[in-house]
Amino acid sequence: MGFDPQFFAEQLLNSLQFAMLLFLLAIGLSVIFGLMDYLNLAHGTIYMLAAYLAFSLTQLGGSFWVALAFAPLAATAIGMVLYLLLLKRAETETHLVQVLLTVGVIYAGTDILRIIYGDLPKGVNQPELFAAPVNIFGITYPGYRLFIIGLGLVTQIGLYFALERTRLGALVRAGVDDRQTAETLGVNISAVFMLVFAIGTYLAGVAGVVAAPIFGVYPGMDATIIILVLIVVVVGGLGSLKGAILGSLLIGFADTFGKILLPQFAMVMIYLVMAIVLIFRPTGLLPARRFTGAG
Amino acid sequence: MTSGNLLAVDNLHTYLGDSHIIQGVSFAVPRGKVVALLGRNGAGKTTTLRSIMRLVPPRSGTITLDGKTTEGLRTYELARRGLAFVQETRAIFPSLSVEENLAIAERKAAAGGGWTLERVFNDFPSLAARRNNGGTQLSGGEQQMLAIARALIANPQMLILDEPSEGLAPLIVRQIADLLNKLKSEGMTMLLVEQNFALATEVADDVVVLGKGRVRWSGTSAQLRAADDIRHTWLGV
Repeated sequence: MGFDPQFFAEQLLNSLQFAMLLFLLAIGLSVIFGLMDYLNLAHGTIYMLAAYLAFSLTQLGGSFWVALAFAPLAATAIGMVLYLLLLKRAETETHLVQVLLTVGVIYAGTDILRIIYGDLPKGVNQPELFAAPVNIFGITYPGYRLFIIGLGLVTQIGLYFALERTRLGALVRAGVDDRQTAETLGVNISAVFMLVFAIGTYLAGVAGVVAAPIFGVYPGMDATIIILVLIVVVVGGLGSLKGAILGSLLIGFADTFGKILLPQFAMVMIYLVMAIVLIFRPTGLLPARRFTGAG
Repeated sequence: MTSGNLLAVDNLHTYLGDSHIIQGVSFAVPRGKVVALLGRNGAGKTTTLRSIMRLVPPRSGTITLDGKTTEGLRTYELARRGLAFVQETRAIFPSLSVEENLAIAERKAAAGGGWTLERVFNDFPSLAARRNNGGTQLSGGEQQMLAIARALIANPQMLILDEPSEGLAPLIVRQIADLLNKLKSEGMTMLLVEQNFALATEVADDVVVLGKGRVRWSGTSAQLRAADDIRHTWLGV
């Protein structure tokens, strides 16, 4: 097999598209951890829940866009209730307790959805607006995948401005730096956290809806991706937007090209990237300053 | 509103883990006065301040602000009721610029005070020159000035300062002393923890000496300067 530039370009775009999906999940997990030291693996359950809600909405006759508008919101509402009723109890516990609790939520969520929807994978149709392939860089590429890349980019730019240029963003950064000091200045960090939690959960829901037409909707789809998302956060560094962007790009590319170049060792590629990063940067590539050990 | 105690601590007990750090401390800070809390390392000064701010939960005792108990209030609520805490570590946010460090603390108080971003940059020109710099790119003295300015811009009823002179060059310590004296002359109520005996007794009206978690002496700064035995026994100066 010689070098085929068209094939290569296509895989580059696939990597980018997968990276955007990982990013939508990773940013919430990362900032929720950065702000509250809460390792919330139930983040993946929200992703799966939103995908199933999107499936139901489209079955009821709604378009993909109706699903994208409402499924993440509904999943966020359920996520907030779950947090306030259950997850909040582990706020002051160790990470191990949080992991045990939220892995329990993953198992319970998977089984509940399996009882409701059955074991078989479900499909969500991609929107007609992006159904046609697009000519780009001399190749024809699925328009829907380009839409995901665009959505990811817009989200990243939006989050950058929200974090760097707004008062709320400054409060979030202050909270990640030093939560207690922010409180002594009159900042209600719990309220800031609930807002951040809601935004992160919403983005996980968006990821679930846009992933559904590509990967399908099935029980356990959350566990498959949350492992990659955890690696993204570890590689990128905790609590930072730039870290989540860089980490998702690296893992998106490693996963896509790993599957092509060394199909039997695709997962090995990802762990290799993680191992190399952790050897040279134990706190990840671009963590929030609190996690660098310097600040 | 012009007299009486702004802050009163009564029979405070605080534990850190199993250690009984504060063992029944009582003192008051009258409105418009400066009270210094002195003592050796480990006497319980910082823990007393952190108990007042509820950064560590007191085991028992009452703390009143403006005559009302602070029981059940969270740290951020105390800040909004007028307690501004300048920590020993200065605690400048590294991810925020100098201006952002100030902006997130800015609050207009009913009591007034008149501190705004403009006034801070006017009164602290070294901060104005570095308003867009990262908070931790400042020198130690500038960080301390920023920490005090960040407390003032909340227009608090009272400043609580934990060792503002620690680790600073004598020239900077002089600037801090001048600043505190100026704030005092403007009527700012302060509770000051300080290892620098000369600075503390220069600024403070009253002094409370802590030793091993208890109040060992209290009186005026002038009385303490004359009380050699107290200074030797509990302060080592």
